[in-house]
Amino acid sequence: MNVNCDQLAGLLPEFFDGDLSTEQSDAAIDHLATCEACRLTVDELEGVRTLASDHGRLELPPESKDRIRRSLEFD
Amino acid sequence: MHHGSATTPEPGRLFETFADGVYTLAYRIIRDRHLAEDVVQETFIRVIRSLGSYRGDGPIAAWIYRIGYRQAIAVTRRRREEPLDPVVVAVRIDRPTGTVEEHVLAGELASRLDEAIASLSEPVRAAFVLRDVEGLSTGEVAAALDISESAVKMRLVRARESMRTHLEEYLT
Repeated sequence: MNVNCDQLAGLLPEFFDGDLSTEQSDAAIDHLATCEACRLTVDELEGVRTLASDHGRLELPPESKDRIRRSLEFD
Repeated sequence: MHHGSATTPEPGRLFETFADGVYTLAYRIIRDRHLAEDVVQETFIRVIRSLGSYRGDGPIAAWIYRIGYRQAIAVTRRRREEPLDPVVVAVRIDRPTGTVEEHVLAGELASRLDEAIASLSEPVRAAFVLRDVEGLSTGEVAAALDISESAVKMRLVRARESMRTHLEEYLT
């Protein structure tokens, strides 16, 4: 199985989720080995996911968390 | 982070596990700290009230985020219909590590990330926050947002592509 750039783009959601079949995964990896543009795209999309998971999360301020805990009678 | 499922969830423990995540989702949708805190409180009131009817046969993360998401959407709809209060932005909790320069760079990145997430349309943003920020599986996001997995994937493609454009300078 071979994939071109457009076909690879269509596989990316499953690629990132690790949900590709072995055949699809091998084809994606083979394409990435030879296509610098797609490699850059995948690297940047991976970068987005890393930035989002490392820096996108917010913490409920501790005083607010305490207030809600009290209101829900968890204390 | 994958939260998995639990058959006998204890309310206090659920709060400790999911409060920050629900707050993140609510704030990313509403963009007002106080209203997002209200959503967290209301979400867990409903979680406690409905825990008896939770059958334990699906991921509890999706169930809780679904309640939180509906609360957040209700708040944004109400806010559209009512006069606006001044928006209170979330205070990021900085940990005292690294140099001053690193703190400045981290602050800039956080601001750019906030702007980039805020620029997404609300349905796309919700899918992105749940999948790429909170780390739910695609199936859990679908359950939380009450849409198909293929719809989640389509939203994620749009979100990641838009985020890539907004954050280009941090990705190379």
